[in-house]
Amino acid sequence: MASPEIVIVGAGPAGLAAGIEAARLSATVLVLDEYAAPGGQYYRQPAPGLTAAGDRPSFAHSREGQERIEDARRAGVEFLSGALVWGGFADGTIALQVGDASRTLSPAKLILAGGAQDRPVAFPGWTLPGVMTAGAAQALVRGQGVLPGRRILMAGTGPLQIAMAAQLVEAGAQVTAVLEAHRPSALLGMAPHFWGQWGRLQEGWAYTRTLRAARVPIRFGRTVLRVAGNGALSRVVTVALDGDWHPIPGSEVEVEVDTLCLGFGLVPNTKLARLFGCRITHDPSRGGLVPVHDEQMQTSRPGIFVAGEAAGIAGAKAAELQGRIAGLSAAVALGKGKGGDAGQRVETARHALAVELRFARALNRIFVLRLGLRALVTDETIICRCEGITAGVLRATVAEWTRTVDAVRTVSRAGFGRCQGATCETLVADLLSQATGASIGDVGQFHVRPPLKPIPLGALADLAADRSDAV
Amino acid sequence: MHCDVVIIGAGAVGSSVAFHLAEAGLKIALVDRSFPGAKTSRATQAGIGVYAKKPRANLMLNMKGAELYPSLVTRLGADVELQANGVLNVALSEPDAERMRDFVAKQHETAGYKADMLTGDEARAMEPALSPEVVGAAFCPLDGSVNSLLYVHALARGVARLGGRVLAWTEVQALTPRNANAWSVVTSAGEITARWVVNCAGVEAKRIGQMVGVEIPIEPNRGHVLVTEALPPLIRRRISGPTLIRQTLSGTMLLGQTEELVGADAAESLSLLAAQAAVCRRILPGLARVKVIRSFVGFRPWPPDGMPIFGEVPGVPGFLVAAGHSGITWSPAVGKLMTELITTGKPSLPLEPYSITRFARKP
Amino acid sequence: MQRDSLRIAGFFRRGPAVQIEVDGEPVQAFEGESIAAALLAAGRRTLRHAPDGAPRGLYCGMGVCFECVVEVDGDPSVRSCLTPVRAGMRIQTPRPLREGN
Repeated sequence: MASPEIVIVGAGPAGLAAGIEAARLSATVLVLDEYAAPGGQYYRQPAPGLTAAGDRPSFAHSREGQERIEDARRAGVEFLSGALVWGGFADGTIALQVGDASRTLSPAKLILAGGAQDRPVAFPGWTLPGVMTAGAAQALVRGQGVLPGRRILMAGTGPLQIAMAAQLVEAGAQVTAVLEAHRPSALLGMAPHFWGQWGRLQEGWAYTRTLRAARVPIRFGRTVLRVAGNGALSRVVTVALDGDWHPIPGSEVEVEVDTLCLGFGLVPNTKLARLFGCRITHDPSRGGLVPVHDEQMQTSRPGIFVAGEAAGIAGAKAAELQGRIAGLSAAVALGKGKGGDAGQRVETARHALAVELRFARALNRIFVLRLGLRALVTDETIICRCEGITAGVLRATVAEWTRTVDAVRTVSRAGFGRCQGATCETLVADLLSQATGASIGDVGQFHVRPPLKPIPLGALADLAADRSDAV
Repeated sequence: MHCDVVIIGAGAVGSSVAFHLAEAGLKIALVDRSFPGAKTSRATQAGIGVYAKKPRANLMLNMKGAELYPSLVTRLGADVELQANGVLNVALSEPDAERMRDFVAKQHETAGYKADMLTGDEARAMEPALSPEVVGAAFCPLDGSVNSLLYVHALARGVARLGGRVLAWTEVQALTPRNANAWSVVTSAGEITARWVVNCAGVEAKRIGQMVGVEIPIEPNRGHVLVTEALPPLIRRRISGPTLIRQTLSGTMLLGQTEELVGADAAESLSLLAAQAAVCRRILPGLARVKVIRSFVGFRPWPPDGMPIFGEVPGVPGFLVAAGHSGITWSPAVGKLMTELITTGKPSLPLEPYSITRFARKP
Repeated sequence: MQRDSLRIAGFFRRGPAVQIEVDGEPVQAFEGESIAAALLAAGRRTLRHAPDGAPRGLYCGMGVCFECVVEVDGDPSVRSCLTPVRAGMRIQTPRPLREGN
């Protein structure tokens, strides 16, 4: 599709829903996704060459995703997989890398549905092979059919961990325990919010039953303190936490595992929105930094919409509803759907979304990371994984003359590696907040510039209109 | 707080002025509204670039800066990754090589600046990664590069070590002459009185000038730079000519040289980034598969004729200006010159060619 | 009950078995699976070495962190978590460019 009217970045629940709505209103829609197949994390499809060998609970989301992808194709949505959106420019051009080559698009409307990533949590030894996020474990199991390791410990907070642990057990993994940082008393506040959420309760109960049957204990008020191993993970020291998640001295226990899966919640991927100059705000009830948007899901930049976890952590159902709203709104803004029921569909989606968001925000508030976790970070703990920069170096930088995360980055070089701060930015912000007392919302953000992710120089060079040496 | 000199702007220019003044025993305050090196000095390829400078006064200033780097760095006692191994200015066509030959001769005639003309093969013998398309080059032994952030921070730390005050995150809000011999500098951290004020605010020099009713014609000149992932050594010397290419000591390549007068607009231009990528690939074909991991945009403080603005402002006693382009290159020199101006009144390089009066604007 | 292999029994039907080369040694894999998964299943958790020489492996699994980059057929930084295996692929687990930090 050479000139789509609407480009959607991200083919998860939000992107698919947006595409379906917009295409049904006869907009030309192209969905770009970085992965080999559409689906994102939630609807993750098996890797190319792999097909499901039967029916399993773990495959439920993949199957649902497959149906949604088919719906989208039937509606006329075109997909371009393996497409990395790396640039967004003032004139509305977006630049993407597909295979070895880059190309540009100039859609009339853009919907950012790039999802979320696991929240990084740092502690001594976290860079050892064998320590990975729950998302990585899920990608391995559901996308590749490979277990992350032989003896797996899970640590983190929130219901996603339980779901992941159950999937691992179902896949035949040995999960030694699931550590939930919160104490049960902190979670009691959840109970009222589950009223009416029968589907979720059922799902959660099924996961818990799976863990019970496999004798996988859930240990409350505990988390990882530090890890060690010779060349790869082999030992984890766990520790009890008080109500504010401060480690309790004397409660350390060492366990032998080869894999540690960390599930401390999700943070929205905002880099694309920031690249396009969308205004960002900090909202802990939505997972941290989120793009500002109106009820049509339009960001502060006209013509650019956001939907799904990229707009705030709220789960797959909310993502789908936001996708619908964004897709409908973008198409309507192009003059599509006149005289139809688009307005009605947006209203319906908005009401359902409000219910989902209330629940999600309550959950986010309950499962917010407590500040005591900062105590895990010693001066020797690596914060910027790409460049190997420790907390001690960052703390010295802050003590000397840096007050914003951008300044810390400039002086310490944390955030200037390949991942361009995708992993360390929240950690740097947290460290800066702790050192200066400023709130996370006030310490600023890393400046985001193209390319968003590494691209070959040759691909960029080939975009030059005039291939001569004229400068 | 009272001191002898307040220096506004802690980039490569202001920090050098402050350091040299502190070395001379003056009581100084170095003020910056963010942190040392936060603006132009951190968004530059940080080349020590003498070769292309003109006219004569500009060339001499930049030569002086380059010559003074090694001794200054020794006094700083810090590793600022000074690469003083020369620069290869390359030509991709015979006419360009011819023009280069003439220019090299002229620079030598003008101020004794030395550069050796090389054939394409000789250039490739020096830097094997250069493309066969390079037909000639001028090897400039005086030129090089530095890690600008490490350098500026070494200067600022040196100021503190020598007893000067470094006031980061401090905004200058008003400048008022108290009498013929004193200034009141009102900042967000309180008032400072001083005999002298030196405006080293770079891209913001105009705004500081307006506080005292002085028109300083400096505009932002936007440049783009691409940064690659770290590579094994590909080139040992900086490359200039149709573009700029530099490999830092950590192995990353800094690529690109663009110039635009588009105000303070920090948005990137895709066509410029692509064009720079293309010319860099042309000069170093080995870069084709190398990954670009980020880009940045920097603003050169640009007077209308490209020549820096140094010295006193008629009618505004005690207020000095030191701003302009290539602050990295002439940083050691401007520190020395401003210190000489303040302490003895006799700078070792006559400052008339850089005077603000050349713009014939009245305060 | 899980057998010895990390590949999950009965989950997926896989494509053709292929041979790839990792640091000069042959490794069995299946076409289409990710390089990281193939290496994990072959018992290799170290994917590269950091600037300080420390071993690094899969962390985010979704193409964000770049911890999993390996050299593939001369391309120095390919994300192994996202890149499918092909027969004959030559993979190197990168060592740091220089000593220390």
